[in-house]
Amino acid sequence: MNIHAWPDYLSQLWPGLRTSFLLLVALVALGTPLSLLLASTQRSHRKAVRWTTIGIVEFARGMPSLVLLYLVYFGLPSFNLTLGAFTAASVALAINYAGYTSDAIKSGLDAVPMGQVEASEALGLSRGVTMRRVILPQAVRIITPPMLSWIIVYFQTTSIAFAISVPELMSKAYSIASVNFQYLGVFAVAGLLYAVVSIPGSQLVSALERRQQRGTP
Amino acid sequence: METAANRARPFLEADKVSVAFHGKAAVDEISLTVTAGEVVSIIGPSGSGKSTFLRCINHLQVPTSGTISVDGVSVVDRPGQHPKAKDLARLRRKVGMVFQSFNLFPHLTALENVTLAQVHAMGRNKSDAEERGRELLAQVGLADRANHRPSQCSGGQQQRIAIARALALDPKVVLFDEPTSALDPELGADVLKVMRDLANSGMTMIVVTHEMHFAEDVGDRVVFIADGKVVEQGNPAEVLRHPQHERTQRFLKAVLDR
Amino acid sequence: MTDFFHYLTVLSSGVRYTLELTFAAVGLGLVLAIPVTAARRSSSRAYRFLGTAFVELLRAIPPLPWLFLVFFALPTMGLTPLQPMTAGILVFGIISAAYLTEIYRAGFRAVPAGQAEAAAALGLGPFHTYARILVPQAVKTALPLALAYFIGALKDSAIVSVIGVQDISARAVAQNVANSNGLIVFLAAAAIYLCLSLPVALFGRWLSYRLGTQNAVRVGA
Ligand SMILES: Nc1ncnc2c1ncn2[C@@H]1O[C@H](COP(=O)(O)OP(=O)(O)OP(=O)(O)O)[C@@H](O)[C@H]1O
Ligand SMILES: [Mg+2]
Repeated sequence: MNIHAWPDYLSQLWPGLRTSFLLLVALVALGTPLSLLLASTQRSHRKAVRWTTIGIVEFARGMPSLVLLYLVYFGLPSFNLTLGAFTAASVALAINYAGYTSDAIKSGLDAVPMGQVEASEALGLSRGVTMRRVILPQAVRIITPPMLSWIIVYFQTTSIAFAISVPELMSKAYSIASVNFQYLGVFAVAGLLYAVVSIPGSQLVSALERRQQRGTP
Repeated sequence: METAANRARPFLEADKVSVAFHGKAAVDEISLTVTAGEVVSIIGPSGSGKSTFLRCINHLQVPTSGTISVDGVSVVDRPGQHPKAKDLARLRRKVGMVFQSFNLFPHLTALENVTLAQVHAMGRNKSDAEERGRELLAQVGLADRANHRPSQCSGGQQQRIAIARALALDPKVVLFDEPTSALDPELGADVLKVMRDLANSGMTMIVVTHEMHFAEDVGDRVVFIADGKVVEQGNPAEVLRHPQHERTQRFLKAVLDR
Repeated sequence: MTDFFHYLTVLSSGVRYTLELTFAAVGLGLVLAIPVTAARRSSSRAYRFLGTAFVELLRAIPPLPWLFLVFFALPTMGLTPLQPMTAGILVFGIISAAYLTEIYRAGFRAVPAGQAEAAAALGLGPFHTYARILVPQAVKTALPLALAYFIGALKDSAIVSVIGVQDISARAVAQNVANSNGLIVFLAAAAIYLCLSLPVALFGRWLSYRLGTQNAVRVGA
């Protein structure tokens, strides 16, 4: 194993890591509002709305992320809508992410006591204001740690965008290795790059969780 | 029957037992001698180290320093030493324990709770263990609950099952850590009655309790602990009615004023 | 619509590989997780460190780099190249071991400390304490989580198609290349995965309802 070449691989992989991050930012930016929407419609008192939401959520996470990725990339052209690989990956992973995270958001919203809603109603606040100013700020504290750990999970999931040749970390690694044949070194460095981001991330999550447990009796 | 000579022999000896958590002493050089058949009540404010000291006696808590011997068995020669599994098993056969929160095994029936350790720790055969188990459940007034799970029993019943479980190994001494404080007074009374019968049968008992009536009527001695130290001990009536130390007086006043 | 059913039958030939891989990998993981859990719960610092390092490293790196390391890199070190299926089982087996270790630990953590204490006070040895007291109670928490993990693994296993395992996803990719009918092909693939995971999901729901535990679906990438 030629460790001396590793810094070189690192600099070659760097643009790939950047693309992985951009993909993560895009999917979280698209997925979080969708997740919030799904969480609130899951709490709707109208049965039809609730069941439609459950259907969407189960669809979004019922299939492998990879299949959803293919479905968006190769399926949308049937509707005369062709997305580039990066956009398709952002959209597919955002849908997938929203499906998984809507539960975390929903339980955060559920954790805010009913009395808060009643008090807001008694004060004559509109439903939107109640959500934005009363419920969300209280729920955010509960939601933050699980959302962060989902974001770490999805940082890793961006690696499947390799399958549609988004030039992210794994694609870069694969193309470098198929030229220099240093599979071990290149994939090891790529793997470690994921770890270097994920491990501090999950430590941050546990620290937040511990702080929260201390804060709530 | 216990003879007078037998009674006077120190049966359990704790010598300068200390426990520190994060450098802070929870138990601070407590020494205690208990003779066979004696019923000792330990009282004291919350956080004074009563439970921690009690748990040292059967080595659920490893003392930072000091030694303990029960009926000639001492699990370590030097404090801080790791006890041998065999010595630990020998100690625990001699010492039964009843917990504040019962700690019954929820997935087992009352009878299974009482027989499990007889089979797997003592090596009794299953039918003997069950016979003994039924006998003990009858003794605590729960013959009819043998096949019920703990969750199907009231708190008082659960604690009586836990007492039967502790007695199943034929211990020489039984430790009680606030056995009634998780119970309504009425349910606690059933438990106290079982404990009273047990004391009358000559069992050696160490009872951490807030039940002053029990300490006075049933106990042979009261030990008052504060800040990890024994402040005062003696005849229950004397300690409870005429405490000598200001700290004891303050504690008893607070308890009785409640 | 007839296309959809046509693809369903074509893709079904991959079900065998998807199931074989998932069952073998999770089976391997269930066994491997036992010593790792023991290490993580050990009183020895060194064992705890090794257990933690194993779990953290495997969970911090997605399956794809592991797969490439085993499939492409090991042969360059003079080892015999593995069949794609074997590589997939090995990689997902070891990754499952890491996740299942955390599930076992969650199971044990859910058992109140008083249970182990009561067992110790009764003089039960470590074997009987685990076999009779801790494990039966830990299973209540761990089993629904393990089932949820199984479903996650079933879906994650799709990635082995990139190294050539002929599973559902690989067949779908091939059909898409041949017929450029991506929408219907991948909807059919999705439907098959759903049919495979639904029974397990329903069983898990029923089980956690029976056991009175939460059905927390929380599976990694
Ligand atoms: N495992 C532990 N780790 C750290 N500190 C502990 C531990 N167990 C007990 N302590 C501390 O030791 C002190 C004595 O606790 P202990 O439980 O023995 O008190 P106690 O007299 O039984 O109180 P109570 O009447 O509330 O049961 C307390 O300050 C407690 O916080
Ligand atoms: Mg206590």
